Amino acid sequence: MIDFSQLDRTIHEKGRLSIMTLLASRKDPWAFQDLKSQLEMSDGNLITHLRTLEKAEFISGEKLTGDGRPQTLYVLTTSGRAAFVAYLGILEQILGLGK
Amino acid sequence: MAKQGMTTREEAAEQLRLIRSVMERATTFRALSGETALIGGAAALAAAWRSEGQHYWGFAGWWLGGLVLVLAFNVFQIMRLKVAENRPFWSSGLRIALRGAMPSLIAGGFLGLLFVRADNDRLAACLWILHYGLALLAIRELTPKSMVWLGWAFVIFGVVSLASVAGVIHVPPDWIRILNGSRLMAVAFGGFHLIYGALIVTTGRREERAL
Repeated sequence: MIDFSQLDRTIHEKGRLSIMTLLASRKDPWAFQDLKSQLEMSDGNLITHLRTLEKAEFISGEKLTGDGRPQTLYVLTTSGRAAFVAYLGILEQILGLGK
Repeated sequence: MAKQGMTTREEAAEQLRLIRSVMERATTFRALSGETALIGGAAALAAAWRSEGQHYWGFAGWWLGGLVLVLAFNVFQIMRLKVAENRPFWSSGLRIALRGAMPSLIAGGFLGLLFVRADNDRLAACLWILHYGLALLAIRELTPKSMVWLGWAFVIFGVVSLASVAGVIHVPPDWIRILNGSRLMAVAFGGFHLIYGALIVTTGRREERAL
C-alpha cells in the first residue's frame, strides 16, 4: 500500500524538481548562471526555488570569489539526494499500481 | 503544479517525463556527431596524404586547414540541431564542455607546434593525439560513453606512440621509419574517427541531444 502523502511537496513542484534533477545529474557543482540558462528561469524565480531547497537542507550553495566574477555553486546534500531517490521510488510505485 | 483533475498516476508520469527530459539535456553532450566524425576522419586521411613528406609548416598547414574545415562543419551540425530543437546555440552545456576541453587542446596544440618548428613531426603528432584524447576525457561527465571510449583510444595510442618515439618502449626500427607524423595522425584522427562515426551513424544513437 502506497502512502501518497510521502511524496515530498518541496521536490514535487516542477521548478524545484528540475533543479534537483540537474543537481543529481552529475557530481560536479552547478553554477547559478548555468542553472539559470539550462532551466530558462528568471533570476527571481530561480533564487526563490533555491532558497526553498536550501531551507529544506536538500541543497547547499557556496559562494566563490576566486578567478573571474563571483559565482555561487550548488550541490545536492546527502539528505537531498536521499529525498530525490525516495521521491523517484514513490513515483515508480504509483505508476506500477496502474499496470 | 499539477493540472487540476489530473489523476495521481498521470501526475506521476508527467513528473517522470520532466525528470527524464531535464536529465537528458543535462547529461548528454555529443560534441562530435557521427557525421562530423566521418567527415573528420576522411579529412584526416586527406591531410595525411597531402602532408606526407612535408616538413615544418608545410606539414602543420595541411592539418590546421583540415581542423578548421572540420570545426566549421561541427559548428554547422550543432547549430542545425539547436535550431531544430528551438534552443540557443551558446548553451551552458557547450560552455562547460569548452571550459573543460580548452586547456588540453591549447596546451597540446601549442606543444605540437613547437615540435613542428623543430622539424619533429612524429612528436608533434603524438602530442596532438594525446591531448585531443585528454580533452575528450575532460568533458566525460557530459558526454555519452562512446565519446569516453574515443577519448581513451586517443590517450592510449598517444602515450604508446610517444613512448615508442622517445625510445621508452622497444619497437622494431622499421616501424619507427614507417610511422611518421602523417601516418600516426592518419591512424588516430582518420581511423578512430571513421570507426566512431560509422558506429554512431549505423547504431542509430543520434537521438542523444547536443546541449
